[in-house]
Amino acid sequence: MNTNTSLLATDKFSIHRAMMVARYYWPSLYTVFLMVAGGMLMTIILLMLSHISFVFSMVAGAVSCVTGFIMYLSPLCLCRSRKPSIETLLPATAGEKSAVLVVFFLILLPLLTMIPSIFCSKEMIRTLMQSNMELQLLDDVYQHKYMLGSFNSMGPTAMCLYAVTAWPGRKSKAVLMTLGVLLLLFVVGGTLGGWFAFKLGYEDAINGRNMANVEELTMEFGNMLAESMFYVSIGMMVLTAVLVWLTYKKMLNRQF
Amino acid sequence: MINICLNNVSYRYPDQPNRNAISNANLTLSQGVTLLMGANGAGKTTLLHLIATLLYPQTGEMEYSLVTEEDIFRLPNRGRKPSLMRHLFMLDDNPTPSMRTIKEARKLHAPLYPNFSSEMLESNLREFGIDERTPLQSMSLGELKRALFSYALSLQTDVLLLDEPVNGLDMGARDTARGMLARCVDPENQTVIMSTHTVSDFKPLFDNIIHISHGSVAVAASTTEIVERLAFRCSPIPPADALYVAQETGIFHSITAADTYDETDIDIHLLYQALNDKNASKVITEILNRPPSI
Repeated sequence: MNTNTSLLATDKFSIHRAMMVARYYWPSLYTVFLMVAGGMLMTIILLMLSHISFVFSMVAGAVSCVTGFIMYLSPLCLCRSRKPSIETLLPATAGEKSAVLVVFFLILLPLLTMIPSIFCSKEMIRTLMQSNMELQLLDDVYQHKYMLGSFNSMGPTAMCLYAVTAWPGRKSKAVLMTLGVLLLLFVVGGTLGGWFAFKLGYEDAINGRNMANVEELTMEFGNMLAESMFYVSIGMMVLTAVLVWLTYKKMLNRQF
Repeated sequence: MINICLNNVSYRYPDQPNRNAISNANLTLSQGVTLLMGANGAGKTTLLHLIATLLYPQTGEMEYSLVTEEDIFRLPNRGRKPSLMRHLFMLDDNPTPSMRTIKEARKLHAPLYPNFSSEMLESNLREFGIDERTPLQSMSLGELKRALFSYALSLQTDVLLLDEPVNGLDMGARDTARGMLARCVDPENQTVIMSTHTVSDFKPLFDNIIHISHGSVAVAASTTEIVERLAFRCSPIPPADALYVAQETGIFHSITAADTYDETDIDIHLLYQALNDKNASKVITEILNRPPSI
């Protein structure tokens, strides 16, 4: 008996098979894709209209927020059955299946939601800025946001994807776990913001600095915030990587 | 062709830690159509899930070998590798397909199975009167089962596992399904394992019978072996040497040890009753599991 399965040359990662898996998943994914793309398009249009009235930018913010939530919970579209036997038995490696889902949910969709903010919001906010210092602060924040901030949005989506893979068909569990990660993000962000505000005020009091210098205070606070965003993003990056690995392992060893 | 062997396979569900769903199963699955029978909760679906790699055994080992004209390849039994999965398909009792229509399945799912036959699918659907563009979600359970049964057969996998495939089908549809199974399955190269309680509809097709009782494989024999060893008779008076007797509308249906010169037709329903009978099951199991005399 030949035990060398490599002779069959079918168990290694294959791009061709991954494409076939993507085609298989596409009918489930394309509704989410359309929703996120639609939300993104609507945000761009609203932002373009924001010079007419401030209301448009407020609505754009709301639409963008809803689109973000759709993206976080997008893996729910895979929740069709508690026992997805046809999907589990699909002749593709766990690596190919998870790669397709990770690329779609954690790369393609976040990139899609970033388009309006890249093309519109920075320029729009720039027009509202008064001083050079504020513009500098805006640039710093944006730089961090695009480099690492994207991982903040990947964390909740990665959690949702993991929950959907680990407990197929249990939508409420996946929603709760995703909201848990978002809550964690808010709590960490809020705590850090509070701590920096306290630290600044405390240092000012110790140094006897004039609190009335709002611009300097804003600049210092912005710097601290940008730094904290960096660490939060690193944390989210690690969480995302761990969840992607767990999703792969679940796909490999899913039991009925 | 795929050969499957179960060596001392046991499985216990995590939520039932004190009960083996399958215990110490030793089995070599033969080509052809195999009837998997047993009472509710006996472990039929668990066994099918183990064969399909939807469950991994806690003890023992599953062996899968791909037999080609040149060589025999041992296939990986863990990780659901494509080298095995492209040869295997399972149709669940309550299927919830992720595809919307059979047309979509043909375009997006079937290409992953190398032996898929589009012509066979078309002919099967035509026989059942199903339009491949009909959304699966809008179908009744019977229609859904017919559509997926047609589709599963057309994938032409070496191993096809069917869990209650005709449950919920009307009599006409069951007849059609029988004809379809006879036409689509190549008993020399394909292994079809079918768990069903409606045995009479498919009786002429079964090449092998596996009986499971309380998680143990009690009997695994070919129908030829069974009729060589047991005789199934109907008489107004029960035979004195009967191993099991059941009376129905004044006639006695009985199982006796087979007479070498008198081969009878297998009565699967009676055999099932006998194997679930405390007194008869022991003797009949012993006769069926006896090694063949040379």
